Amino acid sequence: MRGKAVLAALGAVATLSAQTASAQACGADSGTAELVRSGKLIEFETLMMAVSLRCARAGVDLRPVYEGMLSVNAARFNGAHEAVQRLFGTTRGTGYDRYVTQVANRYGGGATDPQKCAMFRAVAATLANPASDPRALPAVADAMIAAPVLRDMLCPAGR
Amino acid sequence: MPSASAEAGTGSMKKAGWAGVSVAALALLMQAPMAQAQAANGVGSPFELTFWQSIGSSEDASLYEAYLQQYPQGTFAALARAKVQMLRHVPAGTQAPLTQAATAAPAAAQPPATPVANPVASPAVAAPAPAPSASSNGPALAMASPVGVPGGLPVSAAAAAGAGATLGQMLADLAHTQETPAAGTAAPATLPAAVAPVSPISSRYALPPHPQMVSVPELILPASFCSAEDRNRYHDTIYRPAVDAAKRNNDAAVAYLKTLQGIYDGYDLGKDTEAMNALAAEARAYQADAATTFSQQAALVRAFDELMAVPVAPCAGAK
Repeated sequence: MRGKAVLAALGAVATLSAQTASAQACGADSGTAELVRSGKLIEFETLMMAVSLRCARAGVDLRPVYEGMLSVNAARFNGAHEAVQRLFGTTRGTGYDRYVTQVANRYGGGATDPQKCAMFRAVAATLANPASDPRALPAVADAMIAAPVLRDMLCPAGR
Repeated sequence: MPSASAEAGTGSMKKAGWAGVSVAALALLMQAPMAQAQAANGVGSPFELTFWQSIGSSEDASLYEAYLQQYPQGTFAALARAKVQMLRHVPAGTQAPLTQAATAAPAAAQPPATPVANPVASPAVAAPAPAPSASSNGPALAMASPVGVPGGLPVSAAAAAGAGATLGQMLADLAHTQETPAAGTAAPATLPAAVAPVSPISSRYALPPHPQMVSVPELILPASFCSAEDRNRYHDTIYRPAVDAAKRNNDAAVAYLKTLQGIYDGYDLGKDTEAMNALAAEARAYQADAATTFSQQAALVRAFDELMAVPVAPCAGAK
């Protein structure tokens, strides 16, 4: 039994290594990596939009800071959408709409409460500060959107 | 201390890679190119990060106020303000009445006893739990302990990386709570979830349906049985089904109260006092129904002795 367990563990490690290598290969080029970063920004924006709507119903109105966050970072959010639109526009037809719908569905049914709303407001307020460092937004998006939908599209299993 | 932070911001964090970068780690990444420009106001400086790490997950509001005084526009200013608001506006004992209500549950809040099962505690909130004030951020903000470095680790590359990972993990967990449960990647055939009324905020008071009760036949004992076999037949065809029906009803009532208790416990974890009070009210209201099912079962169990006491007298025409 112990021998089998060791073999199984080795097999799992080998599989993981292969997957890691595959993931690295898919996202190795700078173009794909940039698109994935754009996807994270889009998902983060969608997440915050859904949260702001839910929180308003829960009595915590963070829409002003959410709008402020969009305004301060408008160029980056718009750039992300344009980059992804270019991707779908040239290679997948109307796929952009489907992609946006998938992202919205991912965060449309989440659960929130006033405490979580307060935390999201703090995050939005940080990013709505015009004096905040420009690298804060991609860092937050990177932390909060670990597995963006776009990466699954660009890097399907096995690639 | 500053030199250690600077080291963290240049060497180890770069080795950590972008994937694990969080806000705090980003602050470290920012230090090298921006340290000189930001030295004037301290924002994003190694000193700020060191300060923030030193207060870690403290529950002392004055520490966060000190941070805000020093870095009013700091990287963590919004989080610090939220923490101060939580610590200043939600006294430590706010939840105490709830706990006391739970431990000092009156008899009325107890579940119906059952002849065959242990008592089940219904949501033990005879007195309404205090609802958080509108301005309160609530105790759950403790999850926001921004950079959870227990005890305030010395600033080193490893500690800084760990602190960043903690904040990053906190953000990741926060985002994860907003994902649609079991969301697939396929577009839905019906109304998109993005606009569907699926928020638990609107349905948190939804209660499980009352259990369906079966009819319990009234037990009318005859004056006598023609034979012992007649009594056995009465037992098997009339008495036993009545007892079974009464037991099924009582079991269903107990299960319903258990369900309420389970939901109550879940909301207790989230300190959702409004939902807890709604559940407690429902449990109290259901007490009468539960008491009825218990009384019916208990009466039928007691009737067994009466059944056995019915005399056997030969009937006319009986062989």
